[in-house]
Amino acid sequence: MFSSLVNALSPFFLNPAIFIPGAALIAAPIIIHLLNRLRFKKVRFAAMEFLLQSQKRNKRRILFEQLLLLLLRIMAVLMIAALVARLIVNPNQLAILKGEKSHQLVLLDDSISMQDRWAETSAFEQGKKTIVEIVEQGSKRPGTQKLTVLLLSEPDVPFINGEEMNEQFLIKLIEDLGTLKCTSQSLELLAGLKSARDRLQDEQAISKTLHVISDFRAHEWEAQPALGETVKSFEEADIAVNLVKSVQKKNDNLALIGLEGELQSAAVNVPLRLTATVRNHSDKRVENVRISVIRDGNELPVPFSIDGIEAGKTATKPFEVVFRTPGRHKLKVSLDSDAIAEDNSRFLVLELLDTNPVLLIDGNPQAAEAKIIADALAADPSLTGISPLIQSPEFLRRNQLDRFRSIFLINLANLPADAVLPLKKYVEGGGGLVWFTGELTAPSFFNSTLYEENGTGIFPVRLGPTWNEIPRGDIANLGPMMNFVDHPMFQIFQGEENPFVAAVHIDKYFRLADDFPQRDEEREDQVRTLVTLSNGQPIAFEHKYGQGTIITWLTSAGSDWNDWAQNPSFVIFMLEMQKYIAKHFERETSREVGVPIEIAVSPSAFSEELEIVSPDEKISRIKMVPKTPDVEPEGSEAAANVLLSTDYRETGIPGVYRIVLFNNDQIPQERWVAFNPPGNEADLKLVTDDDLQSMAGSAAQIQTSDDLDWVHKSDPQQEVRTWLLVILFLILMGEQFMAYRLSFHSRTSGALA
Amino acid sequence: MTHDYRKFLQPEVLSRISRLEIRARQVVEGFLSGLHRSPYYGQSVEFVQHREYATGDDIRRVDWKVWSKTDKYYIKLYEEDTNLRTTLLVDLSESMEFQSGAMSKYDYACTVAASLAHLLLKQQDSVGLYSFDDQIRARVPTSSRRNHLHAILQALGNEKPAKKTGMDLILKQVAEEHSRKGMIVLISDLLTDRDQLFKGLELLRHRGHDVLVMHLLDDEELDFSYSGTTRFEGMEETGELVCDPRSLREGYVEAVQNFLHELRRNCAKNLIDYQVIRTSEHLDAALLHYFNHRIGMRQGVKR
Repeated sequence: MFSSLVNALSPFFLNPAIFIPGAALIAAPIIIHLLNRLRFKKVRFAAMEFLLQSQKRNKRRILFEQLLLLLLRIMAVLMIAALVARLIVNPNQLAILKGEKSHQLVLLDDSISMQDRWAETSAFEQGKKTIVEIVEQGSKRPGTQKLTVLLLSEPDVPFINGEEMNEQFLIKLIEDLGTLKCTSQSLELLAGLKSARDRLQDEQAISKTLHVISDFRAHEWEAQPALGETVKSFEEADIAVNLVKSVQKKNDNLALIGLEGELQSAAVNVPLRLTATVRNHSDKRVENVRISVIRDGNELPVPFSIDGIEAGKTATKPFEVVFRTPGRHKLKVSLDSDAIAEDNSRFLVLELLDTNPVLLIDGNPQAAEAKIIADALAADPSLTGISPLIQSPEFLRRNQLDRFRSIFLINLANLPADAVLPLKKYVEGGGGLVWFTGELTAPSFFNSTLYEENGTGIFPVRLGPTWNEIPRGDIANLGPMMNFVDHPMFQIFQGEENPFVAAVHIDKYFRLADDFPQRDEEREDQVRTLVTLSNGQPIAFEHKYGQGTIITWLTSAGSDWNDWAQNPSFVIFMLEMQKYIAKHFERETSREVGVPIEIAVSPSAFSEELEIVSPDEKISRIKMVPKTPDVEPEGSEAAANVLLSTDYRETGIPGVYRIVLFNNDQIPQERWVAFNPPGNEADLKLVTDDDLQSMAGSAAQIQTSDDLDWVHKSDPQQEVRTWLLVILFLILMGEQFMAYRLSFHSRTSGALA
Repeated sequence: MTHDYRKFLQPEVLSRISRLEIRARQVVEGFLSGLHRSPYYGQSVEFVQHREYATGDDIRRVDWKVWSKTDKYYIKLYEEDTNLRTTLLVDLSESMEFQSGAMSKYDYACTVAASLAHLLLKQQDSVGLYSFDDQIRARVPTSSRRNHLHAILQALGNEKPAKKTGMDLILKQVAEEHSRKGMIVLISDLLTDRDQLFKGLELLRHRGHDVLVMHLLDDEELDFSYSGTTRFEGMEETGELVCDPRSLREGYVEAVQNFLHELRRNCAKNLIDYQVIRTSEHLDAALLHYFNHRIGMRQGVKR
């Protein structure tokens, strides 16, 4: 009985057990009053007439005053009992009378930095604990408060939407939060704040509170003043803001922020050179950073390590991996575990062929020049991983070009009309193309068919009617004949004097048309001059066509027009150029977590069902829907415009996602995409309380999730000690006044007669 | 039960008031020569006027000196001194027994009566006494003999307050029994029907009596300083009341004041001397104050 009473009172008192006996004391003034009525003295009185008169006249007033006095005394006892039992009053409960509730909105940061771990907990777990505490407190007064929880990863789709706080909800919430995982994404707190503000502004609740549970990293708050401004705007909207810090101190963290390599040249059995980039976000130098490499699920026996990384610095570690089989491969590179586990790994997906096929089309049936290039690219295919294929121009008409990493077009007079379109499509789709001119080159065909205004064709410039010849003796003493611009392809020749390149002599080259601007600045196109001769004439260009890259040489590949082929630098340059332009099969295979996978395929090639296998081996079966692309591809047929498409958004976990498409014969075709954690969340430096307060404005309360006392004390539930004292004081004053009024006091001048 | 009536004569009081003269404010009729002027002309040393002789006049009072000069018979008229006939009316109703201090109103009234009687007899005035409640309980005829005091004291001492007050009958009876003008001293708490009281007093005044009202009240009756829950049981069957007296005090005091005011006003209207005397006051002080004040007010009234 007593305990059930205590339970019933627990929402209102911190010490409900004290209040019950305290409340029982209100009987004391009543009993005293009744005893006074029973215990009286007797007086035989003569002037009863006047006494009865007075009694008759004052009967009502006396009754009222005495009741008032009794009431005041009872109130005083109650107030004292409430003070001792520590009454807590929820102003929102007043709102219940009006049928309104208070609304508490929790914006829970679930970005990767919230995975920050220490001891047995993590920032995200602390955040979840805070929510449970808020609801636990709210459910002590069931029916008075509503809870909405927004996750930063999905600010527009509430995790919990305006649920009433009570015991049942608490149990459900604990279950739901138990399965809630922190994402590995970098998320925008600003978007979450705006969404929360929109949601609360529309709310009719009488009191609105926003709890922002986050780790408040310095890099985020210092870079975005709009965050502070947005928090301030809550004050204007009459919304209380609690900034709940789920992390109290900065933990050391290393992050693997990059994993790059020359994937376009990767081939079976050819060592693939990769570079891991590690950043030290701690305040001290870290020694001996171990990097383990996991190839297709098996860790390589010998880990690599970086000797040491200074505080706040980045270090790179090059290493080589060899793949023995063709096909798709998955590569995971990891650091040892630290505060944030997920930024210690990066993933890479490779699609390896036995070799990288390169198509060499030589206009000369002898194909002498093509052979020179083939030798340069694949003197030993096991070292370069390249398999050159020398063909005549006719090949372009009859065969699929997509499988070639790059195509070299050497000394062509012209191209068959039906070869131009496949070539264009190939380059548009990301293929690499190299032009070499020569004696067979017909400028009129190039200018009319391949060149388009402003460098938008697959040939970048208009050629002059004939080639130029440079006599050897003229420039014998003029130094290097070719001047390279700063370009990745030529990086290897730069820095120090390179005698090999300097020795190259260009005998013949095609001039540009006389009316064609020679210098890049004079043209308004995307064509970039890469090499000029010492006489100022450009002989090599680079330009983009669709997704592909085209390099154009106005001299020959073989030794007819120059002696580069006899120079040792030729092989190196050809390999570099092939690497640079080669079709990037992996172009879209590495993304940041959270970015949706957009799939659009032709309904004629694939069925509408597809499967996506996430890194945790969860299989999602998705049905694609027909959709008309916004931009109609040029030259495509109307029927082919409709594509089956879908957006897969659950890419929160870093790792490799396998997209399994089924063709019309239900034969699966896989695409792999690697999702990596964002690099910008690894810096765990916290914004200081002072800075945060000044940015967020004085109205925002900074709280911690370590010590949750504020949940009990803070608005909307407050201990009203001061108010009780004031009320008690007033009651006692009133009691004294009434008691004085109702009692006899001799007056010095009151003697009658 | 016989009271020790001598207690009403307090030597220290008598010694203090012995120098007082009780004088009627108006002309009174008495047998003896005394301090008071009489409406009658008689044998005295104080000549007033001449009057023409009429048949039946005492020849001895003819002023022969006037006859010798005017040849007409005139007789000399002298002012006659008379003694004061004072009747003391002492209220012996139950309410007079109320007592919060050293003396009850009854004791105080008796003491006042005894002291006055002593004083009056000493100055050779004649004194009578009525004690009454709703009827006359004791009656001592008017006399100026010195041993008359004993009879008065005995009458006072033999009675005990018991019944209700019935003022109208008493006053009417007193008026009827006292045809000669004199002084009537009413010693009472006046807790009775007010209309009857005023009628009676008015009647006495009509009969030409000089009326003195000594209104005795206890301190508690005036100040009502009781506290704590109290059951008030009314004397003279006036009911009872349980109350917190502090809460009623204001109303009570106001009612008493109204009562006193009404009395004062009525008495003043009828030229009745009215005096409230607290039983806590020293009797001699109260009498001294009162009679000195009265002498100051004294106006010769002669018909």
